[in-house]
Amino acid sequence: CYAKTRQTFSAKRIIHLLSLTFSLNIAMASRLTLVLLCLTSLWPCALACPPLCKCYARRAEVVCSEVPLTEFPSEGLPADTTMLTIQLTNITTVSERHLNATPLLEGLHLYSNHLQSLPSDLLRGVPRLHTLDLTGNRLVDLPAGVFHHAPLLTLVLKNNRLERVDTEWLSGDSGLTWLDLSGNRLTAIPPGLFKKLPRLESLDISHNRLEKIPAKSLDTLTKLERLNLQKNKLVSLDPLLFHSMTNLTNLYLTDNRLNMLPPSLFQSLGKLKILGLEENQLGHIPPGLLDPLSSLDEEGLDLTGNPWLCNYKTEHLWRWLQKNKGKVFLPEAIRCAKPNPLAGRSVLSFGVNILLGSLLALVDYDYGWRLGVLASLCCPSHCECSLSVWSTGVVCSQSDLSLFPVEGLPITARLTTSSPLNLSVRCGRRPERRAGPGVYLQLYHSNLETLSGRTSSKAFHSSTPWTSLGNRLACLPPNHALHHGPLLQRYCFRTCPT
Amino acid sequence: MPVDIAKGKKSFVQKCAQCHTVEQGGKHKVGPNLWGLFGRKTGQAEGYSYTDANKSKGITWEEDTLMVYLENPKKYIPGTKMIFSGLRKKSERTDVIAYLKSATSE
Repeated sequence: CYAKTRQTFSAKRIIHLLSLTFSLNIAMASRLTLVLLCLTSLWPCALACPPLCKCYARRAEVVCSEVPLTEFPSEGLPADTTMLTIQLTNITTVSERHLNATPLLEGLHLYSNHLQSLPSDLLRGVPRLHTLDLTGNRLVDLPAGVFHHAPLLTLVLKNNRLERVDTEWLSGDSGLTWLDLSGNRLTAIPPGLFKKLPRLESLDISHNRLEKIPAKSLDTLTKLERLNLQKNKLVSLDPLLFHSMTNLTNLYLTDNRLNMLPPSLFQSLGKLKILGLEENQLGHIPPGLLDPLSSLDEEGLDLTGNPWLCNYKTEHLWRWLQKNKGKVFLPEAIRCAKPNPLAGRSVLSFGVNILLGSLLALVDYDYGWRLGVLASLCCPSHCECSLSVWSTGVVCSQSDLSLFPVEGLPITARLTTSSPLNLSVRCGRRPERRAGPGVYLQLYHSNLETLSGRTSSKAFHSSTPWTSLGNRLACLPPNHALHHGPLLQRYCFRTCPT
Repeated sequence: MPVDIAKGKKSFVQKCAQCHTVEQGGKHKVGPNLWGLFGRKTGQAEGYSYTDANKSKGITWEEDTLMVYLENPKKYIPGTKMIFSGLRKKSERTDVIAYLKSATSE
């Protein structure tokens, strides 16, 4: 107490006056004086503590929690307070003047009050403040300059009602290392915001309404270790978005609407340990996407909760999962959503993949056969082809197909019963009588207008009654198997003229 | 739902590991290393600078006290310097506490 000697003189006078006035003995008068001086904040004494609050003198910490405060408890706040907690109260504002009473403040914890607004230059009187927690208030917007003046390292604005962030809130030389904006109503990030935060190590913007992150807006975050973008509305990401984040260890993109990822997205993330991609709309993983992630932790990658499309494009994912099973969280929960026959199947449950030029056939492992590779399975464009032990499936449904897929059909498949089984598939222009596993065709709900007259009727297995449903066929070729199938009972097709 | 330590670890890594280590001899970061947590009173990890509010809470960390604490840490220990609003979902808390129990003791 630097002012102690000065106070002592006045205290002595007051004590003397009091004892005379009220006929108090000196001891009682001293006590009374002390209390009076404390209340009027003239004496930075250890006894001082705002009513309804708790004070811990050792480290000058003041805690006002769950008490009926309606305004900032200035009365009796010790001037040497280093940590002030005002939480779960009804206070609606804090001003620069309030904080001027605690110039040595280092931490200000204002969790869960009713703060609706804050003034510019709020922190002018607290030049040692490094931590500011405003979680759980009702802030909708903030003025320019609100967080200037104090050398903040940690700023938490979690669970407020912020609809925008403004670069002007922060000073130009901000040394902020931890910024938490989660749980607000942000729809966009101003592109220049992070240029002001080159020292940021942890950034949390989860639980907002971001639809995109502007390209290059994260380029200055070279020190960033943790980035949380969970639960926003991101549909796509710029390929270079994370290029400068070479120190990133934790990246959460969980629960967005990502339907594709650019192949070079994770190129610079050699230190990434944890990657959350679960609960998005991913159908496939482009080749090379996951290869740069050499530091992934055990169970560090989560791909569950995506509608994986299990077709030839799935090969890269399948191979990567085979090699890196330990790095994935719940690998058996990575399931195909489409095509229909494979829905619900775990991607890893396909025993063998067959390398097909640019196609993958997923082999049904149900019968425990191991197939060795090796031939080229062809597949018409607009279709998806798959191989099972008993048939080759060509699914061209719900596509833009308007002509019967004459070219590139897998027309025969031959299985030899040696071990490993050898599979060869002949590709051709038109389906013929099958020599091995049959060919079934699904052509429903496309835009077929005609069935080629050259197709052999024998190619159509009678178990494909749905072949022509939902198309725009006006006629069927003569001798077409469908003439004899159950379909005829429901649809009347005339025979096409030859 | 049965307790899931794997999920608990996942949550811990995302929400707690930034400030806390769990292994024996792990370093203090923004928060204290948590080895030996269960059965210990609040504010006792050696070498960490707790607030007086934390030190004086006086309860012992077990499953039941952690269940209350982790739902709303600042309410349970007013004056803590831990800035974490809590785990609202009971299943998540149970999983994290199960993970903690396995990871912070022999």
